[in-house]
Amino acid sequence: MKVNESTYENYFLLYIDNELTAAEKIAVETFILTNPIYASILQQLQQTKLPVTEEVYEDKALLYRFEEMEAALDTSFKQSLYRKEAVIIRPNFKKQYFAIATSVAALFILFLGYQNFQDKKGIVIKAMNTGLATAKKENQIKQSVLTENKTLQPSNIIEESSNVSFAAKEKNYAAAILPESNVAAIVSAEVIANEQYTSSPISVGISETTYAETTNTIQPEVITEQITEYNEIDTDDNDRVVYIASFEVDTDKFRGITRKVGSLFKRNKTNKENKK
Amino acid sequence: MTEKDYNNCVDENADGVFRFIVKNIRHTEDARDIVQTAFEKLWVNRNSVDPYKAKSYLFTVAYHQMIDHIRKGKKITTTDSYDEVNNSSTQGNHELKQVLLRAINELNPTQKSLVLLKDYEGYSYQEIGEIMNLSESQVKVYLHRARLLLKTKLSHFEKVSA
Repeated sequence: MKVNESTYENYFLLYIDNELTAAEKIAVETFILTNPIYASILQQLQQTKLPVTEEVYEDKALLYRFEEMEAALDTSFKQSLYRKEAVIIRPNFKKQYFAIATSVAALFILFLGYQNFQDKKGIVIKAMNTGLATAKKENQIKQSVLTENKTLQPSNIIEESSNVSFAAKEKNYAAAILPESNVAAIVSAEVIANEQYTSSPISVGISETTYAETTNTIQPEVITEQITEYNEIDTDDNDRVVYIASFEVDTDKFRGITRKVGSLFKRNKTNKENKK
Repeated sequence: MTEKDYNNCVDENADGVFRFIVKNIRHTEDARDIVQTAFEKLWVNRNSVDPYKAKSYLFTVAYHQMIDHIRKGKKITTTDSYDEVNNSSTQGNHELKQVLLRAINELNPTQKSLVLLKDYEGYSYQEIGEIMNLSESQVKVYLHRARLLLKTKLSHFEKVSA
């Protein structure tokens, strides 16, 4: 294919695009030299070529990459680092359920408190009952001994000692309310007192086997001193103590707080009235 | 492609790829993003890229990124972010060059890319076809049409100025 008047444009375009072979380039240049009127056309086409301008990409350092930046761990090691978060079950609290639960808990606490109060009260009553029972029993024994003394006519020395011991015992029985341990102490003292009768040469008629277990070394006078140390229970404190659950509340102190709160409200009321 | 090859490629081709994209879309920041994406892809695929073909790989990736960018309806003809006239003034501020730049901006994106790749980078028709996913004959036809269009506009300007 030769450069001529019908193909020159295509050759000129290929020429400016530098797509021709060296021989074709020479053929185009020869055609222009022989036909100078086409030189202006080639010049116009050459003007369509963009002038080379410089555009600089700033911060090329951002594009640099290094193998160290790609350092990666083994998948097995990564898997060993995985952690599972503990499943937290959050209860679905509703106000109604919460109110019911609170009221039930409050009732249960009150019930426990009442039970505790009842237990304490029961212990006191039981102590009273046991004290009265022992007093009755003691009176009965005293009467029987007196009758025996009358019938058997014991010596004057023994009568005096027995009278002294009984007088001491009467003192002890004057305490109406005593704990169970004290009652036991009284009973033992009574038994020891009765021992005096067994040690005497005159037999009182009580069987020996019942007193065989008791020892003769304990003196009855010492025991009577120990018994006199017990005091009557002060039941008046219970009147001003209120048990709420297992807590004791002093009503006297509580009354003072209620008075103060009441005075505050009164003060507000009086202020409002004064303003009116 | 080694790490050294890649970093050499950055030094040699970053400016060229950036120029090609920024002349097309005329938005500096978007052009920078596209260039960064292209180099990122080159780094990821460095083991499968021949160092001698890294340049055409970069232009191919950048061109397709640019096409996606244009299809998404992003900026392409705004003159606010890229003042081409001022840039060209550093080269001599010829009136004819300004007319040429305006005329190139009036070409369609394919013709514009063809002219830019040919004139700035000096790629052959075959290489341009590979980059733009066109046949060699398509490149030739499209590029020749673009040249003739530019010639017409320039000749019209010369007649008016004369």
